[in-house]
Amino acid sequence: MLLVSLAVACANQPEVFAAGVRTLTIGMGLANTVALLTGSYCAVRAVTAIKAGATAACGRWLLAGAGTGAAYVVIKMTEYVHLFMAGYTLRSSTFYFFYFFMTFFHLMHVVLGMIVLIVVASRCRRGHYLGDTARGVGAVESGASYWYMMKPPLRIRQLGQAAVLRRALLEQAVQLFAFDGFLLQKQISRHPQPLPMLLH
Amino acid sequence: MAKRALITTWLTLLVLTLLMWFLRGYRGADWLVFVVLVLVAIKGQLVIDRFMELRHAPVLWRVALSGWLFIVLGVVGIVRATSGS
Repeated sequence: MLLVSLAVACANQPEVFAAGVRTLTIGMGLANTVALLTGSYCAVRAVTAIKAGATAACGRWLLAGAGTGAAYVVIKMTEYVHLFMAGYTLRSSTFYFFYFFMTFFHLMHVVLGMIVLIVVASRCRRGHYLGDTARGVGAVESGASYWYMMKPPLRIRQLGQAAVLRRALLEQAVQLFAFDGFLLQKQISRHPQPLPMLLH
Repeated sequence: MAKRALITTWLTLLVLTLLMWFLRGYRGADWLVFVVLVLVAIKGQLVIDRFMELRHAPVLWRVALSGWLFIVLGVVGIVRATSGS
C-alpha cells in the first residue's frame, strides 16, 4: 500500500519529488545500503553458527549485526539533522512526508531489531543455549527473522499470520531499494518524469 | 549454507551496490533506469535464494517472493517506459 500510494504521489508531483531528492546525499544512501546488506550477512552467519552448535561465534555475529544497525542509525540521524537544519520537516511537502514517514518507520524497526539481537547475543554468551541446540536455533532464527526478515516462511509457519509476510516484503523492499531507488530518484531529478519508486 | 557461498553472496551484493555508485555519473541517460532495475532484480533474487535460504524451499514460496520482486520492478519499468517522451 505504501508503495502504491508513493507511486501515485510521485506520478502526480514529479517536480516536488525531484526537488526533494536533490536535498538528499547519495553517499549516505550508499553507506546505508552497505550497512544493511552487511547486517543481513551477519544475521545469516549467526543462524549458520547456532545450527553448528557454535554459540560463542553466533553471539559474535549477532553483535556484529547490531553494530551494522548502529552504523545505520548514526547515518540516518545525520541525514535527518542535515534536513532539519535546512528547514525540512514532515510537513514540507509530499516528498518529505513519505521520506520521513517511511524511513522513520524503518529506523524504528532497525532499533528494535538491534535490541533483539543484543538480547539473543547475550544469552548466547551466557551459555543459555548450551546443550539445547534446538531452542538456540529457534531463538536465533526468530531474532534474525525480525532483523531484516531473513526467514519469513519460517515465521509464518510459526505464527500463521499473513501480516508477517506483508511486513517481510515491505522490509525487503526498503532494504533492496535503499540505495537503488535513491539513484533512480536522483536520475529523474535531472530528467523530471514521474517514476514510482520506493524512496529512501 | 556453506560459509564460502555466503561470503560470495555478500560480496556480490556489495559489488552490485558499488556498481550503481559508479553509474551515478550517467544519470539522465534513458537506459540507466533499466540497468538499475536489472541490477536490483539480481540483488533481490540473490537475497531471496541465499540469505533467505529459499533456494531449496517449496516452489510456492519461491514463486511468491520472486513474483513479488519482479512484479514491483516490472511495474516500475513499465511506468518509466510509458511516461514522458
